[in-house]
Amino acid sequence: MNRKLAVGRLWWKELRQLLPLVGLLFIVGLLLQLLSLTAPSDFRWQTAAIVLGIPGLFAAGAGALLVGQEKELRTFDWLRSLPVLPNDILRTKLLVGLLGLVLVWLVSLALAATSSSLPRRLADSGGEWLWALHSLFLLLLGFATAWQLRSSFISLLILLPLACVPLALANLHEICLNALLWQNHREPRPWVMALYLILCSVAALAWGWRAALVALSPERSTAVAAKHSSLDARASFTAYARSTPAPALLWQFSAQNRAALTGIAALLLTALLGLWLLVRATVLHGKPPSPGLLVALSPLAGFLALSWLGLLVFQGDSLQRRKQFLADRGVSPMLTWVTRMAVPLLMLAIAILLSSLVLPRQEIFVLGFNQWLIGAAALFAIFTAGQWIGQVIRSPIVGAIVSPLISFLVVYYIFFSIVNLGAPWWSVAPLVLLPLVATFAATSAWMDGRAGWRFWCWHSGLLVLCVLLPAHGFLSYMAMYPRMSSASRQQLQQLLDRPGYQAGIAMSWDTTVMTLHRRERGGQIETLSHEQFETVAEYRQFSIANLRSQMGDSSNGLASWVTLKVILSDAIVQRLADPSASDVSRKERYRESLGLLFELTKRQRMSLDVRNQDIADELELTLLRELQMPLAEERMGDELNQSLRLMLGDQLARDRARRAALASSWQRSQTTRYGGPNQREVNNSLGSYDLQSTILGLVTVRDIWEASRRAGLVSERLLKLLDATTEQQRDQLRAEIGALVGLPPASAATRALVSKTEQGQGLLYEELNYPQIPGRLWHGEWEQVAKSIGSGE
Amino acid sequence: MTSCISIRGLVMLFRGCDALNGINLDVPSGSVFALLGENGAGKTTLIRILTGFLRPSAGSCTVCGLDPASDGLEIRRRVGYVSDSPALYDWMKVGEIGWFASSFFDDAFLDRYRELIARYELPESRKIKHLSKGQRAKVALALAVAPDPELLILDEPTSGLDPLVRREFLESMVDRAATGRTVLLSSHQISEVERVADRVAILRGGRVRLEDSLADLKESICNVTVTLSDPLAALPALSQPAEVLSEQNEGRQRRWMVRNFTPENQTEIEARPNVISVRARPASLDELFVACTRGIVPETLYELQSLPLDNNERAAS
Repeated sequence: MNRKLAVGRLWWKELRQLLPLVGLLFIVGLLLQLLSLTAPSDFRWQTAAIVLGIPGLFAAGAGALLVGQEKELRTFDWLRSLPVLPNDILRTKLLVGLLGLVLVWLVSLALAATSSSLPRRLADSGGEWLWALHSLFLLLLGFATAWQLRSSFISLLILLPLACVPLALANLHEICLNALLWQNHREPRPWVMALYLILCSVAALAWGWRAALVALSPERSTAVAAKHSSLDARASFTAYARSTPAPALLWQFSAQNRAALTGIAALLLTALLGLWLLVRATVLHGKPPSPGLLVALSPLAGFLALSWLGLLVFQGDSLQRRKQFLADRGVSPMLTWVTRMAVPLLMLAIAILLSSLVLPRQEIFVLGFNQWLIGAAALFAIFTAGQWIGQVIRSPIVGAIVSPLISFLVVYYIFFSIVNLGAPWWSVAPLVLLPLVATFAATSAWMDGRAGWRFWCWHSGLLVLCVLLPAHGFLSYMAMYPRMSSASRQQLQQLLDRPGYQAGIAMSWDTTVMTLHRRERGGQIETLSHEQFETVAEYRQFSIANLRSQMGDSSNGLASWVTLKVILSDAIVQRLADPSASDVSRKERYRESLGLLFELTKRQRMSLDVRNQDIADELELTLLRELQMPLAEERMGDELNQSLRLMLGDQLARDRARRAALASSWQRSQTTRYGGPNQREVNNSLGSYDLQSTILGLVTVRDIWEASRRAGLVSERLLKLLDATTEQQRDQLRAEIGALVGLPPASAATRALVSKTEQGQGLLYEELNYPQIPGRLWHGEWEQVAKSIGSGE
Repeated sequence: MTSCISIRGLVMLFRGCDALNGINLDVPSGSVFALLGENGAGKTTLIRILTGFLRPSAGSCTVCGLDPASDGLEIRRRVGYVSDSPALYDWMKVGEIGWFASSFFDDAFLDRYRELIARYELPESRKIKHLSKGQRAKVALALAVAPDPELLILDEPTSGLDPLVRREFLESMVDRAATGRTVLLSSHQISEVERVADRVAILRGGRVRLEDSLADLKESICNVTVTLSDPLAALPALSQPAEVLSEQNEGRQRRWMVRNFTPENQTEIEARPNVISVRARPASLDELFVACTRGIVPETLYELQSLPLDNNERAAS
């Protein structure tokens, strides 16, 4: 025998056995990552963090799969009959488990790294290496329990409480040390936690090694001689009175799964205890406490317990072909299904009832019936998902590892459907009940071991139904919702792909008022308010000078709508105060203000934002009006006059700028999902226009889709507006844009910006209209007037 | 003749059950040795001890001169073992499992395995979980025989095999023995054992009830049927060297399985009053097996012989 070759083949076998678990965990990890994409950006790290829990699940299941399953299927007996050293078997299994853990870690980290904030958060917390160490401890502990215990399922159950041992020891260490030093208790320091993890890992390795050597060596019996003859028949169960099948089946289920049911009941009690402690502490202190060990683990214990309770329904009979025993005796599938479900459902009902009783009827915990129903439905869904997995997946170990993840996905999808997709509650109910239908109908095939294409088609079909039913409202809504034509899309894309186009960042219309400040002697900056100016005129003068100095430092557009009004009002005041255009200082002030407006208009025109283009339109319209005023040429001076005429007459440049801004705004609307100050609002805008009222709070998928589609429709109409040839077409398009934006059609009408009311000095006009409808002034009548003025007519 | 397997005073106790109660047995090298016994007699327990899976409560045994408890690895190299329901890796293919096992044996293993697979007409590319029970048994057999072991231990090896393969397999067992290799066979198929076994041991209640070469057993053991006029009539003990192995009563007939039954014994019984006839014929192995496992044990028979005679018998004596 070539020992190296033999060990190599052992490696091949172990890796091959581990493949289903790794594969399934990888698929579930991908699904979780996809789900995380639907969460707001600052919550994605939490969903992605679940992906980092996958190595822990692998660590917990590897031992049960590599050792426990072999013992249960008795392939171990055959392996031991070969001339292979026990140490080789032991070493190979352990090393393969370690290699698998490393690989799963690498894949999980790669998946989680797609959430950009996660690596930073982990690095800040310093917890990533401790979790890696803990997963190593779990792996060694899993092997130890698998070697020690006969049932692989029980070895998994017992892992959870044992997994807390290092944490408990570390806490104990800190408590004892702090008591000695008369200090308050603190959380275990990282090095203390690491120390106990290493010690417990070594202990688990030693325990597992010893248990393995015992398991691999010949069995011993310490029994003494029986007093009676071994030929005497055992007390027969037939001594019982003949019973109907159902009680016998119930007894069979309970007896064969006694240990597992006891373990699950213990987990449920742990969860209830943690819940009770949490509730009690919250009632006493008025706020939830910081999570202690029990409180932190109790949701996990409860979740696992419910999921495994569901799994046990069918997995308990899948082992050793027990279900075939029932099938061979002609036990009805319906009766089998009912008797498998009875005990676990009873336990589930008791758990739900007790958890409802634990919650006190205080103000902070008053639950409406709907909330209670949803909570109970979620718990039920965990169970039904588990029992579905139990019938579909053959391997109990793979099922035990994957079932909690699938249950989590189911619960997540329930809440996702209700909250994000806007699904009515009745469409979510099938998601909870359909798994029961699935297993009920397939029980016959399951008992007979007929897992053919019909079996898989049935389950797959119901799975698709479960996914589609809650989403059907959303899907049909989105299918019916109009969308931008591909021709328009192509046109805009061509604008973006044009050589020399720079998509850059549009100059933003900052909603904060530009602060007015002046520099005191000594370099201190003081922010001034409106009341600190003695006259309105002084205020205007100061703000204009301030703006001019800021504009000199940057190429940004206008920073404040208020400032625009101030500049314009100053110019008009100077004009009104000097009707004959004879006052030199007023003319100078007038030219200064108007010149500033001209500068601002040019800057706005460079923006890649639709709203800024519309602001430029409003400004050009104002400047056009000024040009049309009596003695405008004299008041403005030749230079300014010429510049204004040139700018206003250049229709081509105006349209070119509008198209570029439209293309850029459209692109941003399709690629930026979230907006608002905290990135929690849906980006419901097109080039800084809020198309409809922004939804605050939770952003739903439906909102995102709708916003994106609406922005596309508005962009399409704007594009058509630029290409429209008749006024009728333009009016129609403006009305449609107004409807999409959610404003009445009358608002779309082109009307004069500035009030015609003119009185003496100090007058503040009617405010400039804050552009509300995109493209309101595009190709309006004023452009014809501007063109003719520009050409010198 | 040297013994391939040597067992002395082997005891195996389980909770509530004494599986083996002092087994003494020698399996000669180069023979086909059949282990017979009803269900629960201790056959599988004995085999598991010999293969090193179980440590006995008392006694000792050697296999190929080695102690199974301490030299398990070497024994597994020299011994091929097929259990009654071999659990192979379901996910492996027929070819794959041979390839996997070949790494633990010499280079010729794989060729011999493939040859056996071809002879048994098994598809190499099929997964074991898709094989029938009989096909799995063939794979297990092939895996056990491929290393060409000194000793082949087979627990119900032909269960599930079709008659053609069964015949062929049994013939190959004889061939193996002829080349000096030893086969220990545990089976319920008495007719097959009769065809191939050199020596037979019958276990009952954890003890060896009978052990001898098959030829000697057949020659020396008779099925004696005594027809009586009075079903309650007592019969005397048979004189030596006759040995009653078992007795069954059916109305007026008393059936004995007797070893070394002589014509003198027959004459002696015929001379007894109430005896209508005595018929003796050679016993088949099947009858012997049934007699050893179902008939009244000899100890009980001696108790019967100590009962007081009835009036007729008293008057006659």
